[in-house]
Amino acid sequence: MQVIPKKFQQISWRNLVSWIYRVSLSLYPKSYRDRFGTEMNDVFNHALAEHSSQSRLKALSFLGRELRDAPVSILRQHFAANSFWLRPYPINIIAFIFSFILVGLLDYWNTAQTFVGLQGFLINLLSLALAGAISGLAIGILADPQHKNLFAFCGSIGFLLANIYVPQILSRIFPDAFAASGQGMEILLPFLFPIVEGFVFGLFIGLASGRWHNLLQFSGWGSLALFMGFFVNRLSAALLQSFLFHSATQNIAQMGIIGFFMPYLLEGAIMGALFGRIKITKTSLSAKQSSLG
Amino acid sequence: MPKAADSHSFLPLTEATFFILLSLAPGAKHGYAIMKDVSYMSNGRITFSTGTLYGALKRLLDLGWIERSGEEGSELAETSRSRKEYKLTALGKAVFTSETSRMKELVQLATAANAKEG
Repeated sequence: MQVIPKKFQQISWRNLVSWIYRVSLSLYPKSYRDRFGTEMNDVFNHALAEHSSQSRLKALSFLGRELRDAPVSILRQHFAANSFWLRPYPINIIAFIFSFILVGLLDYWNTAQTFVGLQGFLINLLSLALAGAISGLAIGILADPQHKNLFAFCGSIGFLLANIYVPQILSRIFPDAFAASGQGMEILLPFLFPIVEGFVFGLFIGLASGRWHNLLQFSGWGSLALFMGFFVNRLSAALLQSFLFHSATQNIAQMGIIGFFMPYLLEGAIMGALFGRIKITKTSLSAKQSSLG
Repeated sequence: MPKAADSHSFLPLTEATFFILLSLAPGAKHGYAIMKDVSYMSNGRITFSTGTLYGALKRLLDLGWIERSGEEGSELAETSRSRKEYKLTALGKAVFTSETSRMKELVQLATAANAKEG
């Protein structure tokens, strides 16, 4: 007969439920958790012990109630605490929406070949630089108002390089994906673009902050923000095309101006919200050293 | 902090809030006792989960209607880290009294209306 080790015998379903509850408490905002977490855990264990001593059904009903109420309670406390994840940053969101409407306009001009040759090249260059500068300025105003212009400059360069050179570099690394359809990285590549572009843009924004720590933060968040933004753009465009406009492509003639630009607007909003999450370290090393000295 | 005289401005209370104040009216209690008390007094109609109970207690603490042992400004002594006691403040008592009076008036009006009809 197989012998179950003693430490596993001691793991009852109540211990397991109790552990899950303890873990779920970590989903509450930190300030709330620090204030009520220990007490809530204590009350939960008391109630669980009492209900399970009465009957399994009572214990299940208690757990069902906990499970039903937990998501709403957690969300409510995050709203009440003006939590990190739910804090709105209107300036960032508005700036990124504006930038991505500009990117949408550029996509439209490029598709319609409104500007060609040198004129088209310059329009592309200026529009991308302007979109990057506006986004960088908004990030700078929130992160480090004293150096907001530097953020705008770095954002402009970063956005420009990300949009011009990243596609070229990736096309060299994965030539198959561009050569013919249905080959190699063709499916993954559209998702790889925003990740690398976001990294490059974030890197330049991070440079403006002048700290290695921030550099890595901005690159990471940049990748995430551009990826999420792109994903929302494509998803909303697909939904709009399929269900609202019954259009085969994202066609401005069929979808109208609002329908055409809506995915870009949503992309900008998501990106603005995500870039607003970044908390930069403002204290310089020399300032820390002087305060210690 | 609102004054006791403003207690009418908070009325009417939700049933859950009223039951928490009712549970604390006789004296200080800890969270689990409030949870059991409310369920018992409402005949099982109102059963708090830990999330909703502590959400409600936090709101009442923020409003200054109750105080918690071991916290700044509280007269209650801390007995244990995980077992805090809650007690009505003067404002909490005033709100509870105002709500009780309001309900009493309603019951009187309804009783009078029923008597006329009968």
